[in-house]
Amino acid sequence: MDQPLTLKQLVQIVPLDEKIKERAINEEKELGSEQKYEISKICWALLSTIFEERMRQKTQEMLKDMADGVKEYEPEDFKKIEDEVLADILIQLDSVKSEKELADIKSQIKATISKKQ
Amino acid sequence: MPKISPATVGALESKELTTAAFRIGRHEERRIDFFPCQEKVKSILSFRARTAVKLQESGLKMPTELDQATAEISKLLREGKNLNDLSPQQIAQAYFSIREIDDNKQHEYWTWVVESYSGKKRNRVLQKERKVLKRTLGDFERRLVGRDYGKTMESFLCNLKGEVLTRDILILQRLIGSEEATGKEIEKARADFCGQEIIRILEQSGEEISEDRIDVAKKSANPSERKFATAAERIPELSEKGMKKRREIAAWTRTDELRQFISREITETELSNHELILFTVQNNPDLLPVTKFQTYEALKKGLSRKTPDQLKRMADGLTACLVQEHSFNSVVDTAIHIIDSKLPEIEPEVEPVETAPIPKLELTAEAVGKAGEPEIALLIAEGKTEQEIISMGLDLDKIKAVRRKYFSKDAAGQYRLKEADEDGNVQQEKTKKELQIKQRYQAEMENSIDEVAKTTAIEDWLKLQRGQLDKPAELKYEDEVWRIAKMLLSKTNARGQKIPLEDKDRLQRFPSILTSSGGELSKIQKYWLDEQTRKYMSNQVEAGWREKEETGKAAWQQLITKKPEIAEEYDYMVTKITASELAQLKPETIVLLKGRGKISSSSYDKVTEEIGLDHMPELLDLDTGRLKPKQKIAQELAKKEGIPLSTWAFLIVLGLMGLSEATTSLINEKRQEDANQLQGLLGA
Repeated sequence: MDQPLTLKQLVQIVPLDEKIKERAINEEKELGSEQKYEISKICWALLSTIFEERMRQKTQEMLKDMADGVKEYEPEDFKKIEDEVLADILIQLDSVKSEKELADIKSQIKATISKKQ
Repeated sequence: MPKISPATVGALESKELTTAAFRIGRHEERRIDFFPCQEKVKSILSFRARTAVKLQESGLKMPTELDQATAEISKLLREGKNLNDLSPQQIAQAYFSIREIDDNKQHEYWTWVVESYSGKKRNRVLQKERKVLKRTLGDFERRLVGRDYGKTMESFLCNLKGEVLTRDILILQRLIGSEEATGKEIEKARADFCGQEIIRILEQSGEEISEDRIDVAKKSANPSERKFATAAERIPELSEKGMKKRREIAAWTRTDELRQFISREITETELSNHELILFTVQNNPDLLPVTKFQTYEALKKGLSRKTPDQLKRMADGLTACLVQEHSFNSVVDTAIHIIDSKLPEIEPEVEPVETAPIPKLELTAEAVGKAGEPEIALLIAEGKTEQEIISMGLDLDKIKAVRRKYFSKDAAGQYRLKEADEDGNVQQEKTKKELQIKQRYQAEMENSIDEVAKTTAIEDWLKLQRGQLDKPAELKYEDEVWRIAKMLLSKTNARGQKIPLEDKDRLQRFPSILTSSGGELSKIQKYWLDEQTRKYMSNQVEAGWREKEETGKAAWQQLITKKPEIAEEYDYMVTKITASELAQLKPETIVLLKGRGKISSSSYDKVTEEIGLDHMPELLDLDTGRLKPKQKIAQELAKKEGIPLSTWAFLIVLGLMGLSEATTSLINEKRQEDANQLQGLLGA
């Protein structure tokens, strides 16, 4: 499967130190295919950790609200948070992604999570 | 909150499996004979390794660390290695590998097992396979955790949670030292680690292409058309890759790196180069030539004449050889050996405790849990009754197990320490006794052999279906099915009479038999299984299957699993143990037993050959073979550091040491908390 994000886009959205990001983007053209592959693997792993952790937090907050009687949620609301979290992560992208591209990104993140487990 | 360096995160993550293995390796193992499940485990692990290769080739998933470990073990088993001979780490890896299949009801393994069945039969086979897998896992759990430990595998795994098999979030939480670590902290720690990794990659040369990358390229050119057979050919390759990767993880060559591998806290003062050399050679005798000494004894003597620099050079050389020439598991085994020999007390740091006043503590389960085989053996040898030992808070099963292992019953029904003998003699004697007991329980053994025959027949049927039945080689699944079909099924002739099938009917009838929903195939299978079982029972197959040693072993294992009292009788009747088994009691226990006249001179001589005489001169007068006077023992032990708390406690219980001398020694050693605990333990 083609990668849903380019290496540059990946580096752009992960919360790395700005200097490291800049260096990776500037040196991209000189990198070998192996190096690009390794860096993208690391970035996907980082994205999946962030996605997983934010999902966990949001779900817990919602469940707490329900337990405290503050708010009622429907099952649909829980499904929606995946998209919200993803949108939050991708906010730094400089180009808007189509539905299909978003779905690809989501499945790539999920595949990385399941590989880790 | 402690600061976590990215390097620590990386090191810990890559050591996940090692950490698990360490924990399990240090754990008290219970001997469980894996022989009955050898074939099953071999087949499951081989399936998993093949699947990993297949998935990798079809580009769906890269093999995990556990897949690689599975491939290594599968390769060993296929080469004829016995499951019983695997190291604790390999047993743990095999366990986790099978457990993943058991946990995942959608795993391809289940589809593979039932692929040739349909309808109710399919369900029955599936249920049966699940039971077998559960039972196999049960055997592994008993080996890894031990019933004596009083814990289930689940609670054991809970303790490992955060270090093993879990997501990196849990690891990071544990590193941060709090379950409550915020999401931002976790993201930051992870991002810092990834940043360091990216810099490392950017600084590498871009020309090198790793094996991983080549595999990925291969995958895209060759989608998922390759079959299992092709995948199986690549298991050794996957296994090698796992070994290489894990060796890279432990890619150090110096002794300080080995120390770091054992524990991040350990320094050269705590584990000297001198000790490191001895422990490494003890665990890997093949490395002795590296030291230029002929024997271990010569090495021991020779080391004392070496300068610190020479010792350091020798230790570095030895470590480099160990890492480069041995498998990763040997390195882990050596580390465990060092931990067990030198550092039994390494535990996570404990909070400092207020020193005064000393509270009266209960004898806690945890404290009692520290009493291992040596302490219990001493109490039994001292003549303490079962009831007295239980009242000290020790577990009855544990007492019984120690008694069975080290003691035999004399004519008056008293327990005496077994005599030590050479390995070969003991094995001979055990075989003889086993035979005697088997004869006594002949009828039950017959039933067990019957069950083993049935199980073997079922396994053979599966092998026949998959074309894996080696003997006799000419048997083919379809031919066998047709042979029995001709005996069991019939056709109707023009006059409406039922007549037997003939070979000419094969073309027309055979496809419907193989896919029969009316149970023709299951009838045929049942007939084949009955026939095969009968053949085994009447010894017609494989030139004496019934007489074969492994059949006997499997039946024996089945019998003693069902009737543990027979195993108990066998254990007691075996009057000797090997010198190396007795040497497991620790040097101080051996000298105490000798001093009290509880161990014969010949056994003592054999055991001291194993452990060396100079380990515990504090307790025993080596000239007379008697214990030194109590006061003298107290004086000499006071000079020694690092004696475990449980040893102090038992020396006091046996009247060899006063509580006040022991606590003074501990306080002098700056082990105030241990002193408190000792006083609490003994009700002071």
